[in-house]
Amino acid sequence: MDEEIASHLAFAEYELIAQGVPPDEARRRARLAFGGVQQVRETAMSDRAFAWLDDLGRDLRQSARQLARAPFATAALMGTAGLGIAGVTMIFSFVNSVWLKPLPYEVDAQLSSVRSVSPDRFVQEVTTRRIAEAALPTLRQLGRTAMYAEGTVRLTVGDSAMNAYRTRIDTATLGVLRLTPIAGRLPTAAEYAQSASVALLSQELWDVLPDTARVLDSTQIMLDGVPHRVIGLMQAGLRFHERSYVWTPLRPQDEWVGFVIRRDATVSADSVGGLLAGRTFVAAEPGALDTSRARWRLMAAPMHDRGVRPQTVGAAAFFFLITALVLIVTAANVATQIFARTVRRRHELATCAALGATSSRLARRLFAEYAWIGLGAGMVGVIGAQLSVQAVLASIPRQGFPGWLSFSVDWRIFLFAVALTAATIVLIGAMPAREGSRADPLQAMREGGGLGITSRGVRRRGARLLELQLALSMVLVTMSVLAVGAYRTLSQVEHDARDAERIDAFAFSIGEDAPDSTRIRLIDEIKAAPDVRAVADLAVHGPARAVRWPSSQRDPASRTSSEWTPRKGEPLRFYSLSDTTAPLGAGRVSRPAVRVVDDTFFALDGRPVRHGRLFDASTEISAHIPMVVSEDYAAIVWPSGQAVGSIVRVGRDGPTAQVVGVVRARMRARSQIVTSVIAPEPEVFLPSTIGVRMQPSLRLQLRTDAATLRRILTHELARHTDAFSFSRLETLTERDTLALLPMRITASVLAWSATIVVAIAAVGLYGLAAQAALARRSELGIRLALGATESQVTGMVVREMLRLTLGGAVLGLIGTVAAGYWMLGAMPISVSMVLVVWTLTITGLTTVLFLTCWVPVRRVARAAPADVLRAL
Amino acid sequence: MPPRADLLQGSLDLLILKCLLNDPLHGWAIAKRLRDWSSEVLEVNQGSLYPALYRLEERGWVDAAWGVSPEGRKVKVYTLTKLGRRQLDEEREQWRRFSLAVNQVLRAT
Repeated sequence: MDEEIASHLAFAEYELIAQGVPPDEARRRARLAFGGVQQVRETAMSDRAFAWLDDLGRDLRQSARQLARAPFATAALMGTAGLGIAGVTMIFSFVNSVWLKPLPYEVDAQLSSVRSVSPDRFVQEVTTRRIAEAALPTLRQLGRTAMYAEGTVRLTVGDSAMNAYRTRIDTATLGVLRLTPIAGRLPTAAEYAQSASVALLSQELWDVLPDTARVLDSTQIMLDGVPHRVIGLMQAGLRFHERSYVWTPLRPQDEWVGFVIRRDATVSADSVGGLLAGRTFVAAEPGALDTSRARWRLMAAPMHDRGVRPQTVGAAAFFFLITALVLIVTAANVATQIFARTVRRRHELATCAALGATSSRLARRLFAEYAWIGLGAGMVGVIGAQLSVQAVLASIPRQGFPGWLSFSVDWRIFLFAVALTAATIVLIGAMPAREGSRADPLQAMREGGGLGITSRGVRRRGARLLELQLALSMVLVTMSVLAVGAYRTLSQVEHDARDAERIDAFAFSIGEDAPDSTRIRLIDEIKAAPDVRAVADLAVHGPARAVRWPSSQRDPASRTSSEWTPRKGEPLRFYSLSDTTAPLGAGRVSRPAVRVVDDTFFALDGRPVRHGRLFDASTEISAHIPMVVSEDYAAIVWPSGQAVGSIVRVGRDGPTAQVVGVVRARMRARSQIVTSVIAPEPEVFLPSTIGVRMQPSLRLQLRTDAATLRRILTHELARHTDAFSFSRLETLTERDTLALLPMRITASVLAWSATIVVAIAAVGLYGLAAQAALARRSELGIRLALGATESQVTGMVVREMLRLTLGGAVLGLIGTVAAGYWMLGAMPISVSMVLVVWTLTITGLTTVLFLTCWVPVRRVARAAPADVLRAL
Repeated sequence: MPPRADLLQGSLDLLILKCLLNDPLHGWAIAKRLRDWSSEVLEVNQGSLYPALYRLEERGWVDAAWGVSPEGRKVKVYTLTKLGRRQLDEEREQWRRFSLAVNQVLRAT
């Protein structure tokens, strides 16, 4: 079109010259007669079918050029919006992966799990097979009922071995959960009936097997030393209570089972409760040692309440709050910068309007700029989200990564964050676009008028938003530093619990099906290994775990561990050791952790005797079982200090035990997402010579490094896999790391969120300070010309800026006090730690505030007064 | 030179199509022919001519092709299409009815 217009103008000029008009005048008149070339071009183009495309392209080109004219301001805007997107995506992806992501099986209102609860409803757990079998006919009246058993299994393929979660299933389990294999087949009815050695593997486990070992219905894997044929694959990432990698048929000898029920459509959750309420399924057998289980009840709960996810409501709400904080800071920051841009461009917008640009045209141009900013922010957000998720993952040890956590960038959330940020930009940007396009050109050309947005007004509005950012940054920084402090305190407690001699101690669990004789032989062999300094035989019982007790041992004879062998087929009875309640002081109830240990344990665990004595290998069990108790337990039960010599009953109807000694208590860290505590753990210790144990494990003290011993132990244990299963070979450091993982995750997510928020707030303040300094350039120039020094001028502007943020600092202080107060109750932090963190946070943020104000103001103030005044 | 008259709203398309009825012309030639045929009474606003030509081309009433003028300049030459001829007939008829109606109004006593 340009060429055509040029040709037209040349004809007109030629005609005028032919009429005797001088060439220069002819050219001038031709152009005058034609009118505005640009206007003609735009009018012509606007009639074309794809004119909007041309318009769009032109707007995008012009706005890109406009943004490039202020590269730092553009980068700051894109960067802060991008950081906000990254932060929101990171935190919300975490929340989603932990709490919100749907479970892979169909959890609906009709799916319930049934657990066993103690008479006082204090303890809930899977139920014994005996009760399960008795309850099955009742439960089947409610709907389709399935039994399952869970645990870890040692999986060996070729030379490689690993521990994996395994779920044993009956014929109904997968049907109730509405799960089907993604390849291969389910076990046949005959395979279920015979508890055949067939297995379903999860896709992710299958994928790491060697290529040669991946043929369905042919591949052999070893599970606890027993060869199994892989017949099918289950989808990756399945979580059924824990992430399950291996699924095998349930065996008759599986002692502890859980139920899952898909209730019939007509059966309500309440009617299940009604049916189960008050009913016992196992009558106490006359003469049986264990009668406590007979008093336990079955209780149904919706499947999603079955402890699949940690601390559902509180922790999720906490992280929602953090997401909201990051979002608010981002929006406030973007708003501040958009206002600042408006002031810088008020003359340009007014000029465009004066030259005839329509209001829609101006609005389109501004929105094209916002589109560029959104695009840039999106790109920064993509990279930032990936990096921040990687950063959080890098701060979490992969070993023992919890089954419920599959943390990665969720792209739907990313798009949501981008849309939200873009909406913020457009909504906030719409105001200047509207005002700019409606401005009276003449008035708009005047300084400070026209657009209704004065420099001072923008600064005031920007300052309010900045105060908000500052306050939220202070809160988030305080919380993250306190969370890191809490994690360090927890780590210290676990670390202090072991002396330097034992930092390489190993612990491993042995399957409960291990015959005692084999286990004792194994212990003897390991004790003889050259790299092992000491072995402690330890059976760990959480509160209220039952202990198997051979019926023939009702009156335990004096036997040492090496002599005692259970008789084959001997029925086992159960004691609930949580019922080990001695006469309690002031009616308080104490539930100790019960540990069945050998004589090596106390030395290895750093438990010096406070009163009385320890039992040793030669301790004979006569009338009363010798018992050692921890200091804190003794203080609760025998406040007058008469623990040694006291006699308590093990179980309500069980044998009696006599306290022979009191040992040092151990502080234990218990960590959950968001909350954690450090508390003494009341413990009672029974000698392993009583021959009963649950969850047996060994604790080793090493002369060599952990890696070497892991290889030796793996080899040694593999020799015994035909006799029993074993699992969880790990150092105590690894075990502690795992125990503190939830708090570590919380601290990590908070720390990265705080970093992002502080970065956003700092950029926002920098932008506002730079804008304020530029707006007052003339005033500063005059002051400098009149003899004020650079530092006086800089100090004046910085003081004013800091005064603007004073309200935010006060608001932030109130917020940090509230956050500190709340965290004092939720985490193991001290008041002094909170005070230190407050001081550090305030000092650190004040320094950041000062620098982000000082640097841009100083830059303006350093310009020579003459240059400043000339530029006016 | 007789006094110039502004073109009536909507009449530019009709006049351009008429100018192109017998010969293909470039933009300047169309403006010149209109001036000549109207005895220099009608002066097309040059800023309106090219948007109108683009509009007619967009609607398929004229074709455009680059060529060289007798003066040796590179020019864009517009040719009336069949569709354009039909449009010209329609617009001519509309104009006839319009002018008839205006005349009737003016003759009324």
